[in-house]
Amino acid sequence: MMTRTMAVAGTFISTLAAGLIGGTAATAPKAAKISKTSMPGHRDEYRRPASVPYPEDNQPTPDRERLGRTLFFDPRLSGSGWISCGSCHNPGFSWSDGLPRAIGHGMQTLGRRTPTILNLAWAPALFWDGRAESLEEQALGPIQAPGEMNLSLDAMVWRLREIGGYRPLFERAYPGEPIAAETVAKAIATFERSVVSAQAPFDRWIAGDERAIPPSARRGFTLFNEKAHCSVCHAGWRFTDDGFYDIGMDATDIGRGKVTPKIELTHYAFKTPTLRNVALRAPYLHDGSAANLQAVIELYNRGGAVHRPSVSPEIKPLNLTEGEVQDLIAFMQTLTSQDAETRIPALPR
Amino acid sequence: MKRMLVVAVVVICSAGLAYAAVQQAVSQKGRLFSPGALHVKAGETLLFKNDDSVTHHIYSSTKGQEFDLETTHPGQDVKHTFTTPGRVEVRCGLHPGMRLIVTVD
Repeated sequence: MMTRTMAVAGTFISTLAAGLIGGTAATAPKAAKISKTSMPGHRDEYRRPASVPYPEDNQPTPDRERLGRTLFFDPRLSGSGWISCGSCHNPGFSWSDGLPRAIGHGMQTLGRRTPTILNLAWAPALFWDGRAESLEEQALGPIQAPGEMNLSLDAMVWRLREIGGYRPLFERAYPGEPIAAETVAKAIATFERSVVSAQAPFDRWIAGDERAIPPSARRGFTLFNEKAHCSVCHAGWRFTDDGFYDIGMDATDIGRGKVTPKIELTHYAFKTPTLRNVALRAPYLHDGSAANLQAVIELYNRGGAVHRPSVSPEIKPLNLTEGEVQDLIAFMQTLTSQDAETRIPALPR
Repeated sequence: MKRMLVVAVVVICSAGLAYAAVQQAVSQKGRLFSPGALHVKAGETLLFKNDDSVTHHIYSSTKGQEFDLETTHPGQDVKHTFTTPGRVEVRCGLHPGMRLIVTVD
């Protein structure tokens, strides 16, 4: 039940998030300058949304966001007491870890690269293979996975209940609900939904500031939408359609194929990642095998490295020149925003 | 006047017959099903059109209503007959955001 305070706070959080998304009034260009004829093709597809979506049964409040942020950075949610969600989803590395593949419990190297948590409020599926359908569902996965945080949910709940400082945090966030896996998941998901990439030079250009990005990036944007076919999958303001595609990598992980084995096009297919702030998140691809953006573009330029029935029909040789490759990279660099620093709270005792 | 009336009645009846023969269709475009929800009668066949610029693969994993249709490239159509009453969540295997709710009456 929403109290008046919660309603006001919810409005506060939505407004804050909207400010992140829409930019401030002081920097917004005058509406009169933006006309359809002055907008080259494709730009309308990239407008940022007005607000962050939250589910009906987990509306945001400052207390929920704070509890979620506290849990996110608490390494006591791991068997070793050393790994938190933030260990791999490090805000300092655009919410990834800068490694080709994640490192988990006992310093074991895992199979896939840590994805960013940027802009996941809009994602219909989580993990590289999309096996979780909500952030609430996803949050509990790595905690329990033996190779990752290696802590059973029962043990996690027992630990949290033993930490006196958590009781008021949970009570303020979810009054009347117990400290349990469900409330942990809801809080973490609420925090994650607030992690939205801020305005980038590209967004100012979309809004009508013609000088916001250099000519090479403007050429890159046209290539992105036309000759290079990137926008087919890296679509919209998040630069992802969340679709599963086999891009013809020479690798053995069957990705989404494990979840839907009967659908051949999903074999060796992985969820299209966002390109927001992509320049900050080397290395690339599900196994971190591409050291830089150039290597990724070269894979696509070749039409993939391997041929098999599951390779997406969208993958074909592009015949990009070296100059065009550099223009694409220049364009992707304009997707980097100066995101606000994340405040890591004092963890309860 | 009487002739006009006869013509009008014939036109209306033909239109009525034509309407009864039209199959319900669902369009896939912009990585969305359009409409997002509809009702069909048990035994009715639904036509799925790929009006999109990308390949889709329609399936359902709703318990008791599972099915898996062949992959459709842009411009291709595929059909499915819904025989069991109930609520079916139809999805695309490649695009997890695509959801269609079919209520079979």
